[in-house]
Amino acid sequence: MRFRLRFWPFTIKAYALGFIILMSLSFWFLNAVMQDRLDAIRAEAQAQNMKAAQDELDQAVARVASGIKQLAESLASQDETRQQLANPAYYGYWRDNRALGGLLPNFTNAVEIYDRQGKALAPQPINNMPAAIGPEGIGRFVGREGNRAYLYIFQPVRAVANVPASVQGYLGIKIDFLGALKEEYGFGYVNADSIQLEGGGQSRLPAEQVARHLTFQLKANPESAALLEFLSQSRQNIIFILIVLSIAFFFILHSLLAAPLRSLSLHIDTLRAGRSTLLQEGFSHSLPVAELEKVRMSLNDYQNQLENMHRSLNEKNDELWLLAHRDPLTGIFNRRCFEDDWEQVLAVASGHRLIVSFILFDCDQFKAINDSYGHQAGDQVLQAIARILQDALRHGDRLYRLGGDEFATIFLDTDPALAAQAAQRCIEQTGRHDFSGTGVKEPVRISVGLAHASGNDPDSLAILPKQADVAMYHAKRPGRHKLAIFDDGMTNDAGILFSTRANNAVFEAMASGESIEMHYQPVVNLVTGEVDYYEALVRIRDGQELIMPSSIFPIIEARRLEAEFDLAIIERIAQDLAQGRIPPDTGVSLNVSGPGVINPAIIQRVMALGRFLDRYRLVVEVTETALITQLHQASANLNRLRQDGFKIALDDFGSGYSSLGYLASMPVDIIKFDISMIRHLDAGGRQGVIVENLAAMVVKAGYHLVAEGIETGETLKKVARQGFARGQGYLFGRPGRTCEPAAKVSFFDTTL
Amino acid sequence: MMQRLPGSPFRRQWHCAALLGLAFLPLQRGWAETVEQRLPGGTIAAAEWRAGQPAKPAVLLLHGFLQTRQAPPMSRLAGTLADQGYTVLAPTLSLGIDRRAQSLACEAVHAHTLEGDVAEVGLWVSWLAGKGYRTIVLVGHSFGSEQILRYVAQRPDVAVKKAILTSLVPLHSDGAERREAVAQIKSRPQTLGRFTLAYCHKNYAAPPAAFLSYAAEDASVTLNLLRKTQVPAEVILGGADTAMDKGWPGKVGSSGARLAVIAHAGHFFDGEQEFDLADTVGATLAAMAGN
Repeated sequence: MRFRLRFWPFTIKAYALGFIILMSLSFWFLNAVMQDRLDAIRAEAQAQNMKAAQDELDQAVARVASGIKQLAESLASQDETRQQLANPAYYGYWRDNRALGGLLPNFTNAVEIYDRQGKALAPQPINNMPAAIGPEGIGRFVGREGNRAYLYIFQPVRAVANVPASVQGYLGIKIDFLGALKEEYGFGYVNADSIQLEGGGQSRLPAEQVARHLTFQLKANPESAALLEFLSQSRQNIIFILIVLSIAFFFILHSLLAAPLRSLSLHIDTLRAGRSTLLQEGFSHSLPVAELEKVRMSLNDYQNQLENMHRSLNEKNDELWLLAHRDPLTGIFNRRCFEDDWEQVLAVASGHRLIVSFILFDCDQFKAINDSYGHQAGDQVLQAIARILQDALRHGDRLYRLGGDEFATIFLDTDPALAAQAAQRCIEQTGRHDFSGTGVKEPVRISVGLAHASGNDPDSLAILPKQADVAMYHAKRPGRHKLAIFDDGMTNDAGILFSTRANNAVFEAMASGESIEMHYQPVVNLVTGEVDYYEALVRIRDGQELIMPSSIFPIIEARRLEAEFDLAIIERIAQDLAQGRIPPDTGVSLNVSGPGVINPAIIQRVMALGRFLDRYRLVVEVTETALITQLHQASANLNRLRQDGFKIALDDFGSGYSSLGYLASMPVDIIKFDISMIRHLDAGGRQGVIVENLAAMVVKAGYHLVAEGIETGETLKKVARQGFARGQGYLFGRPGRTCEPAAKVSFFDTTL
Repeated sequence: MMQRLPGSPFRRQWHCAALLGLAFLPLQRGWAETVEQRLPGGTIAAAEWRAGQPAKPAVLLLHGFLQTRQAPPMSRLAGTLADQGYTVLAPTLSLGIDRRAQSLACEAVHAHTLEGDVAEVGLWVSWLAGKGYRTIVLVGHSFGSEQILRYVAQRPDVAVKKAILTSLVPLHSDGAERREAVAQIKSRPQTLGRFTLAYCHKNYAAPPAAFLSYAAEDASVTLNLLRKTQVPAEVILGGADTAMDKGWPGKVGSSGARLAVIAHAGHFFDGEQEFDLADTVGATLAAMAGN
């Protein structure tokens, strides 16, 4: 079973080998059967030949004996023979030259003539012929001399033929019996050379019995041997031909079926293994078997389809890769590609003394551009910036669009100074570029955050993008250089940015709006001591804790979510107003971000609050930073609000540039001196004088002043004395979820 | 000395059959009988004898060199003449062998001599004369004619009236061998030599004296004997006999002997020439019988 599982199914080659083995066994069996049959035939032929040989030998012996007898009778009857008896003078001549010289056959060993008394005519008979013979010696017999057998015949010589009484003498002939057999008889079955007279026994055998004492071997029967040889040869030839045919069949089977099937199988395995190089080779050579050829063509068709599909998939993959790694708008690499590359950079640089520079580009006020000129213009601006940056960067530097108007590039093993130069070049070329073709009439600027880290400092390397982000945040700040290189001093701001909990809370709040809480701090009329309006200060509830603006706005600003956050705040304030949570005859001041000021949607949303103007004083607080950055647009929007009845307050005056030139052109009604200014006022001295004079000048210019950070009665006195119409601070009340009346301050008791 | 031996059983049966046929045949061949006589040396010679009409001559037919009475043309001529009523005696020269019945090979031992042969002829002539025949014609063939010629040239029996010599040709022999034989007679007289004689080419086994007895004969001797013959001799030659020289018939004719040449006949008068020979001989015998 294990064997079956291991080897099943068998290969065609195994089947072919099995077939050959089966054929070989069949051939072996056939050969054995044929050999057995041939042996039987040979044995039968041997028996028949042996019988025929025995008959042949008997016949030969009889014939030789008879022939010799006739020969002896003939010679005995010859006149010359009788002549020797009458006159033996020339007997020796007759015996040696006549009898042995031609009258008797070659196998005659000796001949002698004996007289009537049986005495040899020759004094010394030759070749052991008896010197005398008796009556018992007349006749034929076979005698043995050593290994040779001789046939003796003693024949009467008669004066008158057929007259027994006329015996004149005797003729004795001695012949080589076995030689006579060989010479006189053409044996067909008996091997004449093998005929032997059995040893032992009688030394003299009657000629009639000699055949029974002869041993012999069969003569190779030419016909039988030829037939058997032919059969054997035929058997061998048949076996050989069958073996050759089987081998040929094996090779034909192998070449026609096994090899093509194996090639097909390997090809299919290759296809299955997905080795594309082999896949592309195809199975081009045609196969000799129609069915296999059909399979091959089908396979090739299938393979072609697969290749087409593969090619299509590759193209799709390329497209997908491009889609995944290219920004469709600008054509540069996207955030996914950045993340992949960043992983590569981390892998390459980690552990090496390679300086990695991360440059983050961001378009200033892009959202405002987008909102003002439309998305199409915004897209064109982004495309133009991408081209500018790509041109400004070195050849081969990859430029990524990380999202929105944020671009980035990575310098590996580059001098930080060169990276800074490249960043500066980008800023400059962007600044020089004419964006009017996009419909944007105002200058488009970019801010760049640059951060460096060594590969030996994996921790810094890991947060390099965040550091660049922080640097970017700094670069964005008004009045700062557009290029900021990260340093450790930025870490605090970064801490906020990197607070995951705060981030999550801010984003959840923006998504749902539910965790946004508006706390209201009273802004008190410094003449009456009554609450003039409440400044709506945003908080985000995170469980039992509140996230304060100092933690919220860095996140909002870093994420460029000022407009969205403004909307959420406006929505919350609108709910509070609608729900009457604001005391009547007071008002609400709401803070609008710089981007919000130039955002028509925000302005539109703020204007929607105009429905509460009949019951509440509504103040829009903007920072001078927001106004300075987009003064023209901001002024237009703020004027519209003023026309609707809103009051505009310039918040945190004195914390920034506090340019008086700007201040004059700002469409504001109220100026809120930053707490730092109030403290200068408290501290006195030169700065206090300046603040006093500044306050006096602003008042003269017709603005209403609001002092922030009034925490003591002394401070209250000073600001009141300097003409501040309203004040705000812990002295009057801390921001709270509900609008509380202002705390009673004795100052107003005295003034009233 | 003459001795008569009974014929063989076969022959006796044949004779019985012949007797039965007498009633149907106007002319019946004479009874064939083998007769023998012991020669002076003890050798028994045999002959076939057919008794014919007493009024007709007795004819003795002698065979050729080393042959027997069964050899043609004498054997056939004997039958023919017997049928014609002539007494025919056809001896077989013994050549030193009792009752010789077979022709002798050249290689056989030839101790016999021409003189012995002629004497043996004389014995058979005497035997016929002893039978009372007063007219005896001797007919020889080939060397038998030579032997007949030598007999009639010497002192033939008075009964011999004529000699018919067919295919008379002298024996061919080699002169050098003859000289060698002559020399050998003195040194090794009993040693067999191998000579050329007649058709025996260097294989005629004989003691030198025996050889020389035959080899001494040559054409001149023969022609001389023809001139000296005591009885009329008639020579019958074959026109196509290759055993004789072309000039031989002329020489024979010039010898005084009567010569008849049978056209197209060979040495043994084979074929149709057998009848010509018989007719020629018969004509001579008939003429003698008429006389």
